[in-house]
Amino acid sequence: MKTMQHDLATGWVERLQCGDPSVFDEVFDALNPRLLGFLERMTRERSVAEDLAEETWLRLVSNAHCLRPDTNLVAWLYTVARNLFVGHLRARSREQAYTMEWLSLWPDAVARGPYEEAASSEFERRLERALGALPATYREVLLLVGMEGLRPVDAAQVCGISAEALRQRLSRARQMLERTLQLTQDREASR
Amino acid sequence: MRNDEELMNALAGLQSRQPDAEWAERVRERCHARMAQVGRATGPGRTRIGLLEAATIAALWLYVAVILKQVAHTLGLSGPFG
Repeated sequence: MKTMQHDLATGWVERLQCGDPSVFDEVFDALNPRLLGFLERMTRERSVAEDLAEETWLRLVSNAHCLRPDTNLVAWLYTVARNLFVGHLRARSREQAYTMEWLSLWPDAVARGPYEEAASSEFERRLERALGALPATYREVLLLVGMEGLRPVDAAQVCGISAEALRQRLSRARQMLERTLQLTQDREASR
Repeated sequence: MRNDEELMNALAGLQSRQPDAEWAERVRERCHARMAQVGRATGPGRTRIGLLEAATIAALWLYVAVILKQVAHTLGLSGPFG
């Protein structure tokens, strides 16, 4: 599993508060691809993910002077990104409900996610597809812990739930992902 | 069927695509600009401006007080300042 740079991330806050743009560049270069990847897998739309990531970075530089020096910057960034994603979902929920109603008439018309298109192997493609098919609450815990390498306690903080609730959600998410993977495999085998 | 560990390893192995370079540069520039803006509003420069503003206001009040005293003197009014 990937390890998240917690120690470095803690030191970044104090250095950011000095207002040195080169420190921001360092943080941005280290974390932006993963933050954008997380948002892209959550939104399944590159342009929306870019908008949310941009807003996340702007919030960091606007609020850096208010952060405590021991703030876990990685967890803070994912929390802001996740809250922006939730806000985005709320804003689009009515529109989405309407769209999904129509799409349900043509199940094959559901667009593939960008990562599914770019997958390098058949299994990766199925995994991306299965991830994309999970409800957002389960998808996010798998991404935060499984892919981004956040400690469960940090992932719980990002999701605004207790560590125990996260553990249960993660366990359920794993089962759902496994079942979805199995279903897609069976479906493709029967074709 | 894969076990939990295999599944989590597979997740960890998924790739993150590189962000679009043009987009990343635009975000970086906006953030630098915002940092400079925040720095001006909260940094030591802001304190210096605050002191300058306070000194100007104090000087203006002193000037107004002197004018009022002269007006009172001209009108022949006597008061605590005589």
